[in-house]
Amino acid sequence: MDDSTFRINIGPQHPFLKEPAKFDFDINGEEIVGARMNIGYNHRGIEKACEERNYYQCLYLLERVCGICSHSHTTAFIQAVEEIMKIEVPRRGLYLRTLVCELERLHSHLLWLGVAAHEVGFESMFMLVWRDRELVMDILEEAGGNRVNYAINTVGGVRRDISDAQRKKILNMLGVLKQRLEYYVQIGTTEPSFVGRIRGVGKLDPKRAAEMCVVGPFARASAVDVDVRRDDPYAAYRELDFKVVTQDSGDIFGRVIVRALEIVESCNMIEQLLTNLPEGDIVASKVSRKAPAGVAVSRYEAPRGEDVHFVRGNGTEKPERVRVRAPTMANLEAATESVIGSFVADIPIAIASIDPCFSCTDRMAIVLRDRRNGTRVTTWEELRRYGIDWYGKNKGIRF
Amino acid sequence: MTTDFEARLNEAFPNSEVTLGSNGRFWIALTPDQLIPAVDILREKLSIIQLAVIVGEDARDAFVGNYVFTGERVVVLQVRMDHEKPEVPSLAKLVPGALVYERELRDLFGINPVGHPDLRRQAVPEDWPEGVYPLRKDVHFNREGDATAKEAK
Repeated sequence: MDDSTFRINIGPQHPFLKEPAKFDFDINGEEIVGARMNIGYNHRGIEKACEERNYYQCLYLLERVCGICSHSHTTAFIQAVEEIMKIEVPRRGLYLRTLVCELERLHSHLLWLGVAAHEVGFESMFMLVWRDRELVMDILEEAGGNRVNYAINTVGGVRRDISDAQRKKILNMLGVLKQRLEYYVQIGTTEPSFVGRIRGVGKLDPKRAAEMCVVGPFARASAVDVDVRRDDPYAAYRELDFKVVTQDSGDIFGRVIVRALEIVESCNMIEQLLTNLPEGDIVASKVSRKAPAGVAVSRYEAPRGEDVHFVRGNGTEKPERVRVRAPTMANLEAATESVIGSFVADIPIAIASIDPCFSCTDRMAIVLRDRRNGTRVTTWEELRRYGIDWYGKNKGIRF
Repeated sequence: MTTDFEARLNEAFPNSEVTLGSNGRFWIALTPDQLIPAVDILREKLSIIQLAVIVGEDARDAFVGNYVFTGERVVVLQVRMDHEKPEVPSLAKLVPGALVYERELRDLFGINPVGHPDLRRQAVPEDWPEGVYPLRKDVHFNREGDATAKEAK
């Protein structure tokens, strides 16, 4: 750092960040000449907590690793558990699991498209995209019973079946959605003010992308042709017909195109899944609560990139070790680097362009009592009691 | 294809134990000083360059680092380390993407990645006590207390 450069610290809490992370940018005038990041402000101790819970409890805990890709984490985990337990999942179960996977990708990519539009000040697009994201949320509610944590996976299959009437209803909604999506894809890839703002910004060249081991749409926009759904197929992806979208521009514009076209691919996959939905059971019978000693590495293409779960069983009801690798962990360092050379005003969209999710990335510290300042740690029970009392006293609501 | 890859892998690692696990994953057991040559071989002979994750494990008599590489197939390099003084060479020069995972290894297991250029704390807060590694088996998760309970004793 010489005299003409100036360092700005952003985070851990900052209006442009939706979740905590810390960035230090060295700037020279308006240009960014250096960048580094740090994470670890959102720890919840999930990996350690998993070691003290049985597999079914772990499933519900891991569902809460992330609010957006909740199904990704349970599927990645459950695949590993089924591999250790040597359980064959019925075909209909796999199809329904894949259906929720793709619906989740749809809603996550739409969410991201809205956020990207918002970050560059294109608010009308943000409003429109998020309005139609509600359609996907309604479908998810129809299929899973919940808007966010669908809790559809269980060891050996899925927990909810869909009826024929529901199947038709979802197909109808999909028809409406597809029409509107075409318009958004067109706007997102051709609207001059939007494209002008993102083309050539936040560049990551293919060689560096491969070195930094980046994953998902972020990698595919830098011409790294990886997609677990095709490379290492799981669930029902073997039987589906789809294209892996790649771009070689390596900038934010490329990332928009990759995600926009993936939305279209997802719609097609959902149609295939619903039209070819096989009959039969949705969950394997006779599932043991204990897993034998064994180890499994499970890969899953989450909306943001590859999720990796590592599970070791030890013959009891509880896992010996659970490791969660969320895609943001692989992408964040490279994303921070890609900002170098851009302008300060590009920072929000450049960081947002990997669709970061810090709650996924930071999973595992434990509440620490601050002995220096004597801060008190509120227990869950106290917090609950406080909430109940507060609402009782101030709002007259009794629980 | 399967057998072809397996043959090439066995040929590339003639002196190591290569196991084919479930779902077509290959596992190679290594000592810490074999790690860097092994990563080189994976890159040069099998063109596997993508490191997915490093999974630390406390096997009670040893620490194990599982380096999960993905490419044509999944290859996991299992490095067993001494329990008293766990150390492993850093992959900083070969695989820049490994840096974040190595910082986690240090923070959560106390495994020292030798040669890592930037060992700021990542997975634990900056004021976390020295020498408490949350994911070790002798540290217990306790809601009222916390990982510092071990230190307080």
